[in-house]
Amino acid sequence: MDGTVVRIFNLRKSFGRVEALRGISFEVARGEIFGVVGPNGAGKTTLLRIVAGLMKPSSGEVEVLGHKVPSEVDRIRKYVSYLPEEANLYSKLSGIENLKLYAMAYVEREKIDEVVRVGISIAGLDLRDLERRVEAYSKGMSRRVAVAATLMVKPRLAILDEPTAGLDVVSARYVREVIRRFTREFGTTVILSSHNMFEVSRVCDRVALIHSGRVVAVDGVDRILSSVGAEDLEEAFVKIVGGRGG
Amino acid sequence: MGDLYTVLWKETKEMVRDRKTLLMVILTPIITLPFMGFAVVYLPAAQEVVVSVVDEDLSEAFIGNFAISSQSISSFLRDYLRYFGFAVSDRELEVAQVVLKIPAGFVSNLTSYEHQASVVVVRKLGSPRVDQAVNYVEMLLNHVSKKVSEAKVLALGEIAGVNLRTEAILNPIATKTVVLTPAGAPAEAEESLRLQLSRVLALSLVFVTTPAASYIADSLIGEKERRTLEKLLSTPISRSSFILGKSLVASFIGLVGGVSSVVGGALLFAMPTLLYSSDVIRYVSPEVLASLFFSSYISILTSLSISLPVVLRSPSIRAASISSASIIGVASVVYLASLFINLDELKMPLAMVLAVPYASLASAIIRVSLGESLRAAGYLLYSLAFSISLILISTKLLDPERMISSRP
Repeated sequence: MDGTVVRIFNLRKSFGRVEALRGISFEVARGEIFGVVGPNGAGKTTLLRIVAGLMKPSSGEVEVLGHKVPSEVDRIRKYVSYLPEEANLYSKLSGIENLKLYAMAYVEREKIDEVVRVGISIAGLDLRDLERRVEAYSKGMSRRVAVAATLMVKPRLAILDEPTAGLDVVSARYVREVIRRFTREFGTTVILSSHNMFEVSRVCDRVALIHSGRVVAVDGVDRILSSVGAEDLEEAFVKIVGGRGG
Repeated sequence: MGDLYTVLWKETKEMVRDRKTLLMVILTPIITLPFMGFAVVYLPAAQEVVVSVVDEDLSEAFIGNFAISSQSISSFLRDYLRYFGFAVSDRELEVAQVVLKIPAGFVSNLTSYEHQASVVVVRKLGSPRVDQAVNYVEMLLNHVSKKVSEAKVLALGEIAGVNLRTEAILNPIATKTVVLTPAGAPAEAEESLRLQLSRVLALSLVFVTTPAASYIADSLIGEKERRTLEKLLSTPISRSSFILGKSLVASFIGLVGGVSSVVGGALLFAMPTLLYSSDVIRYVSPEVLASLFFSSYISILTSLSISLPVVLRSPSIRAASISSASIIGVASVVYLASLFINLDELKMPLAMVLAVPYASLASAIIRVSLGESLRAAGYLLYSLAFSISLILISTKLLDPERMISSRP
């Protein structure tokens, strides 16, 4: 395997007559935080689900850590951690028990406590709160624990679908900081989807702008901005897709 | 760490903390079975039915030395009807649901050798308890009729100077029915009663089937609804561990349900004991209760094993719920049928019904009550093998894309 963690070529996905992805191609390098940006319905979640091995492509190629997806997905599950959009925790379990569950799924018995400790530090919540059942948590608290459960196992690839969706400003800021800090610390490669252009500008090294199932631009944020003469990613997106149909 | 252990750990914690579901599983058989007994045994008797026995004849006559009066017949009828729990009056009341009139000239005709006496029974359409009252009236009148016939035969014999035995005239063919168990051993009346009770117990399996089908549907579809499924399916936990873990914990619900069924079953037969000092409970042998326990457990396992592939392949959550309800419906029909027939004695092609595990489970309880434990064990093992096979097949059917894409 070279320095490429994710390689996607001409990926297509249809649901009946609806074509959600129309020939997506890009690569994500090791250690990169890669943003997938686009409006609602652009195909971001479908793309991430395919990379996570939860959906089958209609055609095209997807390789993660040098293995074909979905045919070899069982060989990479241990190294890939996925946070779906609006994923909830198990409400009858405490925050710590939720962390423990995902630690148990990924690591050997003797490493579980250590991984949970990492999860606790990522979540940044009071230990007493983490010992309470999740059903009493706010959305922000739940999201912190969910992000912690995704990153604590130090995956080689973390797939984060709209990790700050629906969060207040403080919680969203915390989650963004956590993603930047811990993925750098763990050497984790990240694919992060968002419709929040500001968030992507702040967090990602490179981004792919997706519109109606197609990649309309892939590059570093600054390079995209300068290429179209825009001040921010939102303006760049509008300029790029302005002349395109859906 | 072991995938299966991880799923078991999570599912067990969630299940133990879901006290309402657990309580429902435990309490449903314990409440419904005794209530069923109460409803069947006590409630009909508690419904008041007024029977008027009106004597318009008020006369007396003799057959030989045997005196017969309309008063003694009507008293006999009233006393026994009261004994059977009916409200009895000697006047024709507006509220009476059953009116028996002994018309004028009744005793004269009854004691005659040329005429037939008749009574008029008027009944209002109503409940089964009214039908029961009419049945008792007819039974009591038959008794009176038989006694009068005997008196007439003896009187005629005396006139003819012939030594007569009333049974030889009135009932020249004596019938003796010998009841045997299927194994050929003489059976007492209690065996027959035990068989009837075991049919009721087989019907009671309906109550433990419902929570299992609902539980497994919720366990799988609920994860999607609660937005926990997608993340769990993306982890290294294998699909088979995911399904097996959920099935094992759901089958624990089966164990709890099985124990509750046994307790409920015991309470069901304790009802007549408590209410009427009947000793019916002694007919429920430990073997029958053991078969009820195993049948309950396997019935739950069967429900979840049939529900699994249906739920896993359902295009939507609503479809999964409807499919689960259909499975419960099939189980209910089979268990209800076992109340009236021996499902394992049907001829082909109807005998195919035994391939449905619910039919085998109901038959197992009935066979145990007939002393055929080996045959019952065969039925239980078949149903168990069926359920386990289906669960194992289901582990191959899990399609994450279908699961996470299903519509609410």
